[in-house]
Parts: sequence; structure tokens; C-alpha cells
Amino acid sequence: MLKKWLIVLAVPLVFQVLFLGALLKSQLDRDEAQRMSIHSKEVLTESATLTRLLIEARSYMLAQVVAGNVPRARVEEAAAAIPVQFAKLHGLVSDNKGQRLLVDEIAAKARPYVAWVVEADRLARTGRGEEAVERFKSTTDRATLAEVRARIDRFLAEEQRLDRERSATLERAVRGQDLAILLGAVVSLATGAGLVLAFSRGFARRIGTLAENARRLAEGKALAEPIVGGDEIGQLDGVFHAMARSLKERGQENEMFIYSVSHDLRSPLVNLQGFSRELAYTAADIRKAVEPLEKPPAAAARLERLIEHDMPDSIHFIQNAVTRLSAIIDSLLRLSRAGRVEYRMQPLDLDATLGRVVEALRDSIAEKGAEVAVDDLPPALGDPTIVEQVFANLLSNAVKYLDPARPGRIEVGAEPDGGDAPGFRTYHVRDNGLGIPEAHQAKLFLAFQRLHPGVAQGEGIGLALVRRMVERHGGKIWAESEAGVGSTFFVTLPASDGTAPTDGPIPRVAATIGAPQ
Amino acid sequence: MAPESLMILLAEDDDGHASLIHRNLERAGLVNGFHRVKDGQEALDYVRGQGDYADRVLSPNVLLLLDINMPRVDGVEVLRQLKGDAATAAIPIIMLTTTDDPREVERCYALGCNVYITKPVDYDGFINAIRQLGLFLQVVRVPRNGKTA
Repeated sequence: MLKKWLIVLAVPLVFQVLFLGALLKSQLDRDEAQRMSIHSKEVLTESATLTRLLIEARSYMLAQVVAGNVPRARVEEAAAAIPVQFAKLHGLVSDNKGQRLLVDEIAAKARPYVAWVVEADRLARTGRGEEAVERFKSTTDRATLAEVRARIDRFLAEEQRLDRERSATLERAVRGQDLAILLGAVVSLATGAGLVLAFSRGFARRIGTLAENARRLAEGKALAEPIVGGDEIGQLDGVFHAMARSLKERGQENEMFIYSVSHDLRSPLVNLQGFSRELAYTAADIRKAVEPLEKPPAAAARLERLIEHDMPDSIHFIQNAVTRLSAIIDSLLRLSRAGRVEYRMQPLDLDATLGRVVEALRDSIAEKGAEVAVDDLPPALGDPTIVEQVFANLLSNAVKYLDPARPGRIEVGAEPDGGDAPGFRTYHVRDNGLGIPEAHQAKLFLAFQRLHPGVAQGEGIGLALVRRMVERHGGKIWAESEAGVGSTFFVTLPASDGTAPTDGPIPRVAATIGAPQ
Repeated sequence: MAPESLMILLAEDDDGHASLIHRNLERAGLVNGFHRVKDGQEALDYVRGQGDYADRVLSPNVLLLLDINMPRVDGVEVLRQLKGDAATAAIPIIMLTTTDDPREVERCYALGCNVYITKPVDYDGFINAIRQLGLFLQVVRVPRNGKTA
């Protein structure tokens, strides 16, 4: 898992590093382009200075020739500055061979010209001005200057071209940089977002499955397919599956154990029942055999007591105990079978089911003089036999534990919905019987807990069985009760849309079964 | 009453059960010959007139009450062997046992048992069945020597 998180962090980081690199390079390019652009401008400026110097020297010289009033220093300065300027220019374009040669060429051409200017100036200052004028008239002066200027122009043109080129490069560099920034940001964000999305979705989905499995494990339901992946989530899921298997095995072992023990108990039980019966027969035979005999009164009385009271009493208790024992074993078998039997789920018409249940209990209901009212019940989904057993058990309990002090009233109905369980419906069986004190309510659904052993027959297994059955349908069962007031048992079952085939034309029981009028 | 009396053979390893069955058969009015063996091997020996019973005077008509859970050879094996042999296939066999596993029941019927009775936890029902059996046995007719006609 850690590796994946590192990937999610690392990949965008890599992109960002690349992006920074590209950014850096483009900045360098831009700097370079800018430098070159500035450089060109500098060359142009220095060229202009050179031109100016050349012209200035000439001007001073001409002025001297014409007016004779130019300080000598001016011309000398100008003349001296020109080679310096050439040297400067040479240095500036030293990176460009073509331009450098051109500068040297111009310098070569300019040298004699400058010398001529200086010479002309000297002539002017030494009174040989006419000679200078004569020399002017020759085309050499102008032609040389023209040549020099032509070359300078060419130089300038080239430099300007270079300048334009470099400006264009600079512009491209700037644009390129902008694009790189944009692209880098977008790609980095996109990959980052994409990875996080993909990772979190996969991650969230797997965590979701894990949480779902944990919940299913708690409720004893089957788990989803194992989660793929060697990371912590996959491992945790593997643990859940192992837990589920272990629980299932344990449960099955328990059931097998209960089953085999209770099954083995049946054989001695047959003997117990049989021979307690045999004893009764034997007692009867003894009585018959002894009756016609002549007995002294004391002995007769004693014999009478033994045969009529002691023996039957003993036999009676043995038989009672044996009956109870057999009932317990039977319940155990049924309890162990409750986990093993396959349920066949189908839509159930609960009105019909309750009808049958109430009918089966008719005698005991009438005996207690109780009233049973069954509301319209919405259909549920479940195994018909099992659900009938559930309601039979609940109703039978309700009848058994009625309070003799008041007329019994039992109601069977349904809540509008499944409460906080969507897809389920809540049904209730309410009575105004003896109720269950709070202390016992926690143990209500455990096996072998009986609150009122004296009140009615039973082994205390019923509710444990019922809970197992209800839970195997995915539902819940709980009770609300107050001692001395009554109890209500709630059961949730999966809802059905009601396309239930009714089990025969059994009328709904909304009637009251009570003492005959 | 059949001219040749029917011999009831009970194969049951539990002494208590055997005693109960015998007593109740008698109470139901059964007067047939009754013999009890303790396991499947003895049952087979008796029917075939071999082993411990090599010198038994073979009663011509035998009906077998068979418990399933017995040591050495169990009831199902006895059933299989007897029904698989033409010489003994016609002997009526009634399974009496505590198992009510439907698969077991089916297996026994598939092997050819005639009736399957569960020794139920409800003792009355069991005794009733024995009683009915007793009445039934009084009127049943069995081919001679257990051979098919």
C-alpha cells in the first residue's frame, strides 16, 4: 500500500522536475536571446558612433580648410578616436567571422581616408589650403568616403539583419517559455489528479468491499468475492475470509456434536420409556396376581399401599422425567438441524399462515378463554414451514404465559415498514400476559433459559430456535416486555412484493376465538 | 393361522430394546416362534443355517426384524446380502431403528427392505407400530423356506 502512495506522490513529482528543467532551459534560452539582441543593438550604436566620428573628422577638417578656426585638438581627437572605435567594433563582432572581416575591411579602407583628413587639416593649418581644395576636387576624397560608407552600410545592414533575427529568436523563446509553463502545469496537474483519482477509486472501492465483508461477517452472512491484491487491504480481507471459514467450521462442529450426542441419547431413551411402561404393567400384573390371595390385614394394608401408591408414584415420576428428557433431546435435534436444513425461500401469504397457526392452537386458546386478533399482514419472503414454526412458537408462548388474573388478549400485526432495515417488514405478537422481568430479558433468546418453569410445559429451547430461524432469513427478533403487564415480540422478515401463491382457500382469521357464548 | 408357523427373528444388539420388542409383540397376541440374535453376523448365520446355527433345524418361514446399528455386521449389510441372494431374497425384512435420516430410509428401501419403522422418541407411537406389526405378522403368509415360488 505504501508503494502505491509513493507512486502517487512520485509520478507528479517526476513530471514537475522535468517541467522545472524545461523551464530552466527556456529561461536560459531567453536570457541568451536577450543578450544577443542587446549585443546587436550595441553594435549598431557603436557603428553609428563610428560613422559620426568619420564625418566629424571630415567636418572639422573642412571647417578648418574653409574657415581656419577649428582648434587642432578636435581633429586630432576625432582622428585618434576612429581606430579605437574600430578596435571596439572588432571586439564586439569577434563572434561573427563575416562581420569581423567586414570591420577589418572597413578599417583598412578608412585608414587612408583618415590619414587624408589629417593631412588636409595639416595643409590647411600650414597655409596650403588651396592644395587641399585641389585635392578635394579630385574624386579620391569623395569616392573613398563613399566606399567607406558603403561598407559601413553593408555592415550595418548585416548587423540589423542579425538584430532582427535575434529579436525573433527572443520572441520565440519567450513564447516557448510561456507554453512550457502552461503545458508543464497542465500535465503535472492532470497526471497528479488522474493518479489520485484512479488510486482512490480503486482504494475506496476495496475499502468499501472490506467494510462490507466486516459487516457481513458480523451478521453471519456469506462474504463477497475475495479482494485481489497483495497489499494490506487484500491481507485484511483474507483474514476476514479465514475468520468466516473458521466460524463456519466451528458452528458446523457444534451442530454435528449436538446432533450426534442427541442422536445417541435416543437409544437409551427408548429403554427408559419402555421399561418404565413395563414396570407399570408389572405392577398391574402383581395387583391382579395378589388380589385373590388370602392376606392377613396388616400385610394386606401394607401390600395395598405398596401396590396402589408407592409403586405407581415412583413409576409416574420416572415416566414424567423420561418424557421431559425426550422432549429436550428432540428440541436439541431440531436446534442442530435448524442450522443444517436448507431453506426454500418463497413469497408467503402470512394471513394464511397465521390462520393455520391459530387453528392449531384453538383448543389451548379456548381453554384459557383468550382472545386472538390477527391484523392484515403484508407478505414476506421465507421458508413456509420455518416461518410457520416461528409464529407457532411465538403464539404458543403467548397463550402459555397468559395471566390467569385477567382475560387474555393476543394481537398479531405488522408495522408499516421494516424500521431501520430497508427491504424488511416488522411483525409483532403482543399479549397481556405475565410479562418478562427486566433481569431476564437479556437471556430471553438463549437456550435452556426458562423463567416460568411451573407455568407451562416446555424445555426453554423454543426462543433460541426461533431466533436461529429468523436470523437465517436475515431478519431480527426482539422483545419488549413489562412484568405483570404483557409482552410484545417483534420479528423482521424480508419483504415480498406480494405475488404470493396462497396456500389454499384458508380464510383470514380476524375473528375472536374465546369462550363459547 | 398358517399351517407352518412363522418364525420371527429379531436382530438387535441392545438387550433392553430386544426385551421391549418381545414383550410388546407378545402383548399384541403374537404366538409365533421368536428368536433373538445380537448382531448381523448371527442373523445371517441363522438364516443360512451356518456358523453357530449350523445344526439348526431350518424353520421354513422366517421374518426378520432388523436393527440397523449393530456390531460386526450392521443391518444394512444384512439387508444387502439377503436380498442379493436369490435363495433368501423373498424373506420379509422389517427395519427397526432409531435413525430417521431420510437418506438412510431411502437406501434401505432401495436395497429391498419391505418396511422401515423408526423407533421414535415417542414411545407410544413405537409400541403402537409394534402392536400393528404383531397383528400383521399373524396374518402374513410367507413362501416356503423363504424361497421365491
